[in-house]
Amino acid sequence: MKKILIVDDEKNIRLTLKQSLSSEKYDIDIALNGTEALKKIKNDHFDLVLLDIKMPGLSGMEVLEKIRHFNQHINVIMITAYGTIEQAVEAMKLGAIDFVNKPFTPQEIKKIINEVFNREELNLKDLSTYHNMLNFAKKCIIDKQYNKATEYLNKAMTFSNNEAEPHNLLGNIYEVKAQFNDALNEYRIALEIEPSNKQAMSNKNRLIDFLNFRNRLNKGKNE
Amino acid sequence: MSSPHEYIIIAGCGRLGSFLARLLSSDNKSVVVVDKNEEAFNNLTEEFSGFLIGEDITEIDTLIRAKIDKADVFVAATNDDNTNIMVAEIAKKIYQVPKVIARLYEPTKQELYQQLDIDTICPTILSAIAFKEIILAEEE
Repeated sequence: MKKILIVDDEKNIRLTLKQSLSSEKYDIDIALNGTEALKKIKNDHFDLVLLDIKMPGLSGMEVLEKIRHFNQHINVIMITAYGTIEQAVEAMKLGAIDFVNKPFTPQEIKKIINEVFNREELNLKDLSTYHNMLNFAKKCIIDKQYNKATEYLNKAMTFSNNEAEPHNLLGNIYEVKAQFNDALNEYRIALEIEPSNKQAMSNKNRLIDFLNFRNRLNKGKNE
Repeated sequence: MSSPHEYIIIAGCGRLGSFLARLLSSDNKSVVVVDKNEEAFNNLTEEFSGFLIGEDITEIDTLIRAKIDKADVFVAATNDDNTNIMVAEIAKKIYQVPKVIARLYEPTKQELYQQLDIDTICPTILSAIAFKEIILAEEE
């Protein structure tokens, strides 16, 4: 049985997650904060961690960073605040690319967990659909094989060219490689495909803010 | 077995909204309560397990943030009939939420809701009927 650790300081969210997963056959454990989570992950085996980004004390990102010091392979799904998908690139660098935005429906949470577990089993011979190709690319991203991931994201696009997600992921990879203009271009394409795509919007705005900040900083240095 | 009404948005966390939220979440439903006055969330009891959004339900961003496009049920339970009718209509017509229910204080507005295919609960009518039944039962 797959073992899942829920890490959230809010009782409501812990309960909702537990309820959402009650129909599935998972062994579920709970940690109320980052410190408790790290202790549990060190002492026990988990297949997946559901980790809230916003917590008092250690934040979700800090917990993720610490987890990676001793466990490179554990699956992590980040739970983000209402309406925001922040820190996508930082999380990607730390091998987490799956986000669930609060509030979430039970179906959403079951679907993403299934996807993460199915991804583990994927191998090259399964890549006959857009969905599998995309998930294989995600697997490469988590293993930090960014060139291979780029290759498979491009292949996924040939299966289906009206999806925003591969462009968002490609943009994130470009950002990790500091190719900012290429990244911006990908987010713009994602928004052309799906103008209301929250992830693309948040990626684009964040990157533009960062580039503006960097320009101002450079100007300051030259003056 | 999962029930089809799994994801429920309740607009308004007054006495009705908070009580309903508690009942539904003890029934293992995923409930999102929206109220622009965050203090209203104090009306929720310990048994409530769901999401809270402290924003104005009449803003389209709030509805999107609450993921209204994924809702199975939308309940308009603010303390204002006009707000309830507006958000209920948006839920029904724009987001095609399968089940939309609104509370209304003013019984004469019920017909309007019926035309919009929105279920209503009118406490005034319900209480009047309950009163009548008690009175008539005493007559027998």
